[in-house]
Amino acid sequence: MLKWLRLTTTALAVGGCSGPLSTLDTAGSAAASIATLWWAMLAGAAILTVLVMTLLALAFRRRPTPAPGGTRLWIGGLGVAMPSTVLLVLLGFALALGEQTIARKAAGVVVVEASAHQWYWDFRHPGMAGEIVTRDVLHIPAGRPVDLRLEAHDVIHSFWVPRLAGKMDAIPGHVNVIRIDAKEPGRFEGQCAEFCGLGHAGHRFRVVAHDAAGWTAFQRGEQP
Amino acid sequence: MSALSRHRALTAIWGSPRGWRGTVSSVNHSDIGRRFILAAFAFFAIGGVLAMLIRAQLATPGSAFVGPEIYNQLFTMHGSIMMFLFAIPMFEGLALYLLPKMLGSRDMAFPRLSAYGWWCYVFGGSILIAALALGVAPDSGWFMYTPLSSKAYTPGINADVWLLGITFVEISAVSAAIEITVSILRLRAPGMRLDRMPLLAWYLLVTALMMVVAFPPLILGSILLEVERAFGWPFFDPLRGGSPLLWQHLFWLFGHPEVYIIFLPAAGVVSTVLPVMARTRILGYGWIVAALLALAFLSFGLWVHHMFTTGIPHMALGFFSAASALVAVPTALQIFAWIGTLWKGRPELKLPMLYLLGFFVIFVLGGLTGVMLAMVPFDWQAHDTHFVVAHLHYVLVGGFVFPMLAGAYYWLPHFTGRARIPLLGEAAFWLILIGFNLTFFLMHLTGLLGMPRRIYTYPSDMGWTWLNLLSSVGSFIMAFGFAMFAVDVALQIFLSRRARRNPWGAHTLEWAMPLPAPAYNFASQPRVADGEPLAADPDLPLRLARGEGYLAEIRHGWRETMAVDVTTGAVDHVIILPGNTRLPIITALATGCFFLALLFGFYWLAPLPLVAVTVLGWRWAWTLGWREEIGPVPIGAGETALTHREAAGAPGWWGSVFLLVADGTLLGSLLFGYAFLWVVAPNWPPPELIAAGLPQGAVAALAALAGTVLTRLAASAGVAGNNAASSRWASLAVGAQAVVIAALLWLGLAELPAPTGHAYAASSWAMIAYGVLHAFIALLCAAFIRARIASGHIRKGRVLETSVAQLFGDYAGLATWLILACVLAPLVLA
Amino acid sequence: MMLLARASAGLIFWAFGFSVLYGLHGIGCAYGWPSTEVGGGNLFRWVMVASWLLLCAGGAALIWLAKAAPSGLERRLSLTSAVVGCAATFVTGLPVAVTSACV
Repeated sequence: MLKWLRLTTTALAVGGCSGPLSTLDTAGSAAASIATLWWAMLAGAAILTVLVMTLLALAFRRRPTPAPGGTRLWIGGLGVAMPSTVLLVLLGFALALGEQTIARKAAGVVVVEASAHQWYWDFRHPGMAGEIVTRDVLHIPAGRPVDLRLEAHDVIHSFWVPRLAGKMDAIPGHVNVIRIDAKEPGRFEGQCAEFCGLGHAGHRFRVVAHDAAGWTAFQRGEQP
Repeated sequence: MSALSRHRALTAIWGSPRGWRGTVSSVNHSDIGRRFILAAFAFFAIGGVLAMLIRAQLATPGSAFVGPEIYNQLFTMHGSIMMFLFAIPMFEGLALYLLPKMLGSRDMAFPRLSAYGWWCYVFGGSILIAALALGVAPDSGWFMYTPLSSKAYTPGINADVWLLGITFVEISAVSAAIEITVSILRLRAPGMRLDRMPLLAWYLLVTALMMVVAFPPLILGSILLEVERAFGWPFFDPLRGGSPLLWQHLFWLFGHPEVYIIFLPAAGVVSTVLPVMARTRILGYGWIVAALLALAFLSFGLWVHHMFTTGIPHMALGFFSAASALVAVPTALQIFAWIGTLWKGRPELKLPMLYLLGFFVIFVLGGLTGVMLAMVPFDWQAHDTHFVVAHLHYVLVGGFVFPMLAGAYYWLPHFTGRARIPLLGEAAFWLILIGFNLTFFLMHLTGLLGMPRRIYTYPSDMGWTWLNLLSSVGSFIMAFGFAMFAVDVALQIFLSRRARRNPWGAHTLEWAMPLPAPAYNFASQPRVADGEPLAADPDLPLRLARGEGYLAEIRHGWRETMAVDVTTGAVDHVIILPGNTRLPIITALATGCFFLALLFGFYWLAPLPLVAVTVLGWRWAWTLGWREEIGPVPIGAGETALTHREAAGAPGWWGSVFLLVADGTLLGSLLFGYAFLWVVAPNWPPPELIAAGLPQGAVAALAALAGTVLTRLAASAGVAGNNAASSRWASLAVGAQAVVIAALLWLGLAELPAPTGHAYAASSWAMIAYGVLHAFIALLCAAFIRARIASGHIRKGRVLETSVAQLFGDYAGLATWLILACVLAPLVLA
Repeated sequence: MMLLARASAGLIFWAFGFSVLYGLHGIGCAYGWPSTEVGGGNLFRWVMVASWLLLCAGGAALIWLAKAAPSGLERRLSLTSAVVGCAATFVTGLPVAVTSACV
């Protein structure tokens, strides 16, 4: 089922769901599993919509006597039992998925410090000879989990690279951590997602995911 | 007395003078309700125009129509207007107008309070609109996140306009909430047990109770942020021990229940109109009431789902995600109860039903996307994108505007006494439905393709261009639809033929009166023996007009209405309501001067209007009551009852209880903020804690206890008719409260660090200020009792005023003790 | 008024339990309970799970109490409120057993 959904996902992404900031055109594991969740929920929502609309339409058909069904059917069954079951299953699924996505302790995680400003991002990467600082371009190794430690220096911003993962706010006075990864080397667009004043629309950045050789070169200080 | 002469006599008592005199002095619920509805619609139009400007800007990539300075004001004001100046006041207007009529009563419990709320709403709304016209409107988003809305990043007046203007408007929301609660609980027709109430009254009761608890956190947040902006008390500044997250908690603690506060009244309209359209009774009355209560409570456990991306640990998010999923169950229950009702009856596709079908289609989709957003991982992607914009419009337009339009067409004959002009309303419906879906259905996809909210422009290579263009086209189609609705209503008011008395064949009491409704609603009040009184007794309107119900006798020019037992609906007492007066508008003007003084930074001037409000408040209470002996009065059917001044549990007492519940929620939010900062905020512990202060604390605590006890003694002596003792106790209570004030201030000034240094000191000072204010209120109450004994208003058996004073005395004592415990805790624990 | 009080009792209990769990979670994370080992688990997990189960038991007791309400709408509302309160306490507390502590 999941595999089928993933295949459909890819097919749909190719035909119209792609875009530099598309959450459906995924390139990281967090974004991919969230997209799967979305397609599953969309299918469920479609079925429920059809059910409700059909019941609604049938209420208007001409009939000789009032239709059957009392509170047991309408309220006990359709109103309480049905949604409770659907929601509990969905909730369990979503919690499990969230557990896989959050920045739990794991081996081989690359840690990058990100600080948000009105209206640019500074990224401090681990290099061979100390920190490597870049502005508005984040460098990561492809195929490895990367934790971003987010800080903000003025107002609240939000770090978001839709094709790789969900978003996380950068809040003054607090440090938040988000885990991202890119399956393949490439360039991915990022956008500040929390309203941060006049420059919010243009508060963009880019993620460059390197292959192993490229990452080593970057860490040595050789700008690609 | 003939029906016609009774009508004339009652109109003379309950009506308002013609012309501007009536405008400024009317306190009649029908007048105030109509005004709320009209003003809310006017604000809806303004908010709608802002939305069209937003869509015009976003129609094409890289548009040069407006820049970010203007655009940020547009979307901030669109959200704020629609939430605070349209949705809430619209339902308040509907409630004020309809509730007494549906409950078989003649007015709301506190007519002058409705009028005061109305003027606060209009004046506060005008401040916001004036700021918009002058180009200094709020521009930090309707959610006003700090630090963006703090002085450092919004140095201008814009944020102050929001904080002060909205707080001013919220006075009307809180007063309406208290008034609706008390009116539903007590001002019903005799015999209307709680389980015979029209469902709409249940919906409004639950909504009003939610408002009593939901608005105080936002009011507190607004006060704290304004104090931070004006005087530099760093509640939200992380460098000095504050936290931007505290604002988010306070805001959403209000903001999520707010969504249900908007939805529930509209759902109540659905539950009222739908069975009439289906010519049957609602399916599962008791289940719906149970679902409402569940919704009311669960909706307070969802607020963090607006904060899923703020770095709160996954387990805590899980609590709120689960609660957000659960809240869908009582909503689903209602949806299926409505569909089951349609199955049970024989639904007809009249215009209100058409709008209800629109509601079903849109709201179900909005509910389903709501469940999606309640799932934490999906929200991490969708949060702050146009997917959420689509979702919230599906919920709010589907869940509020469509049912309200259904309600508008359903009750318009009631307002105007006229029938509708055919076809125009249907055309408006289709334009609104198609336009809405074109605008917002596509927006789900725009959001999934990564378009964030609140960006004023976007490049052309993002894949959003055609989606945005279609959304903009849709929004203009929808706007035409609303314009056509306005034209339809205007034509109906001015041109159409007169309507029949009960055009829909409905069975609730608001149709048991001539149309348009007279100022007094019922010439005599019915005795209710069934959930649908007009079904059980179709001749009821005639009999009421002939004076065959309660309170048909007209005496002393009194505005009389019945108060009943909360649960059983048995006759309890007669309420004599105040008549038309200019006090509400004058008090609202004084209140407005206070807000304007703060807005323009004339802080030295601000105490003046406060003194004026206090004096007016005193007068407000003073002008009621009488010195003469009254005793039980005849109410018809051979029964007698006491008047409300002599009966226990009069509306004034109930209103004070709910006011104190709201007040207690505010204090609770303040204490939550204090604890939250201790545990979560950066830069703690503070450099300087309270070092001494036990003596002052002990004096304040003892004086607070004395104040409470003395007020109670004064109250019981007053009711027992022991005037001399009562007067003496009241004087001593005044003295005790004065000592509380002095001791609290002494504690603060002598022992607390300056409030500008650290959020710890600022929040301690905020608690001290709260204690001082409430000791002062209790002082005024005790002084009032003393003065009323001297003037002869309080006499043996008159319980109302003393019982209210006792409530405020008790509350002040409790608050002082709580505050002292929190302020002195660091000292004691260290 | 008793009717409204009875009709809210179960839900008020849920609100209370919900606040307790959320408050304990905040305090536990702030004071590092997850890194204190107690009896084969960590202090944080023990406290959270124990409070959750206690609250669920309290909710169940309320259902039993609600059966004593006067019949009619009052009993119906008290019972549904108690059942909803207990079920909601169980469901909203579920994450204490299955999710990571403070990440």
